[in-house]
Amino acid sequence: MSTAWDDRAFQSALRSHLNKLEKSSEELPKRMTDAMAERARSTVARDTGGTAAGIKSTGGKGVAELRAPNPYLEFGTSRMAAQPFVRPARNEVEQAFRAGHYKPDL
Amino acid sequence: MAASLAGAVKAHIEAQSLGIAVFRDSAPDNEPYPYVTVLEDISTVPDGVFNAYDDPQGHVSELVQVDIWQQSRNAAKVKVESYTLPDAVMKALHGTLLPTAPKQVSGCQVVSRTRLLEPENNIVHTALTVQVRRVLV
Repeated sequence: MSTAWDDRAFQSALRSHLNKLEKSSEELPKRMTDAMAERARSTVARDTGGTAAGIKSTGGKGVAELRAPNPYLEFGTSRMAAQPFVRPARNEVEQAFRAGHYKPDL
Repeated sequence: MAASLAGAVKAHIEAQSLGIAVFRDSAPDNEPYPYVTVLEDISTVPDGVFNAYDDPQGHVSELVQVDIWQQSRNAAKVKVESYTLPDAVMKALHGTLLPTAPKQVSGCQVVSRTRLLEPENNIVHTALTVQVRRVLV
């Protein structure tokens, strides 16, 4: 007597889910920096709008970067108080990530 | 017990005997360099590892900016910036529990350090960002 077990369908479904998870995970950093950029743009002190326009989120597979001009506005100078806009955005998104608000889509 | 988080950071840095004045928010006019200023609450958000519906103490992640202001060169144009002072302040803050804080602190981490030059004012500014995990009540 013999028993046969064919798990090709199971393996195929699993592979499909893993591919989807991998793709979604790769997009996660960019989603997070996009959210940071949006938040930073909405809170940055505006004069000409140049700093807000210079806030950029870029990224590719599994990596992303937020670039913001004007570190003197973010950190202040000896003659001007700091008006942080990047670090609050990062703090909010980081804690939202820790709370599970950013997850790969399945 | 300090009345505020910035006061607790100030007390903690002063306790290191670095020979440097520390002020909340901003230094008085004509204060001689070097000195440190502490800007609290540049961002405070709920700590993500706690469940919002099961956290009676209200754990938060607060960012505090600690600025070290130094003269770059003296009147004889000789470099007088201390390269050890930012390290000493960073070392003092990274990992401390701020024992005089008004609310319980579960951890402090220096999450960034940036050195900014103001050549026109002859100033070197080192900005530390400190993440303080604490409770609200």
